[in-house]
Amino acid sequence: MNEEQRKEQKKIGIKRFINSFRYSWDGLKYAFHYEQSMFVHVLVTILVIICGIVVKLNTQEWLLCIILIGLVIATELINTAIEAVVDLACPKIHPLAKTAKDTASAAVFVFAITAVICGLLIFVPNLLELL
Amino acid sequence: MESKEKYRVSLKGYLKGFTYAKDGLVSAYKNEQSMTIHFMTTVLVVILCIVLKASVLEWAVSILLLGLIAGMELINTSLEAVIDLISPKIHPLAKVGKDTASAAVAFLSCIAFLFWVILFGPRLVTLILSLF
Repeated sequence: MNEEQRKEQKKIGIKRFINSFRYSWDGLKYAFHYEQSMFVHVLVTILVIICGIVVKLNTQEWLLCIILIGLVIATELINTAIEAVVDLACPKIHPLAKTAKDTASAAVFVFAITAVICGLLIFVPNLLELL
Repeated sequence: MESKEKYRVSLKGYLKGFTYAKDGLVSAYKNEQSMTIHFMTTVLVVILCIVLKASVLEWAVSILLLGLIAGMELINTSLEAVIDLISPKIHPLAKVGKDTASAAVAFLSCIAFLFWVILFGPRLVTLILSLF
């Protein structure tokens, strides 16, 4: 849609609010269906929650875990969005398309590594205490 | 991509994702100057954490913030590439896209800076004052 149509579209309203939930749910279903790394991330989430309950983290550590989990899944979804946009813009192979997709994958990778490091920093002391 | 065929989960496909990520990191470091600034910030924060003897939780949150900024910069690079791909000419919507992405990175950097000032400020000040 062009600039005028965008300006005419209502920016706020209850319908838009409810639709945003529906679209987000559609997006989650799509990402889970087509991206195999999404499946791995949800698996790791469940694992982390179980480990957190077993090791008995305190409130601060739980907060950090929640942030990490949300971060990784949200970034994976943004990666899926960027891949869809790139495929929409240019179905053929193009160097800029490769750059866009690669940097998006790199972003997910960086977030995942960060989450792993922070998770280890949280869990390893608690596990050592448990033993 | 409207067909509902189940995407076959494969190890080779999963590992290929890592090659793409490595390519993305390399190209981002070569082409974006903001990544070098971020690298220096990382080194500075790590040194600060070691000197001030941060607790494990503070280490974890610092690493989280550093990773957050790095990842967000990579997403910014990606969005810029996508916008250049779609419309190489100047277009108001392209400006909106690039500006909001840069604003996201700048906002995140400011928040992280504020966080580190609050976290390390008092201890750094007492450390410097104790040297005299």
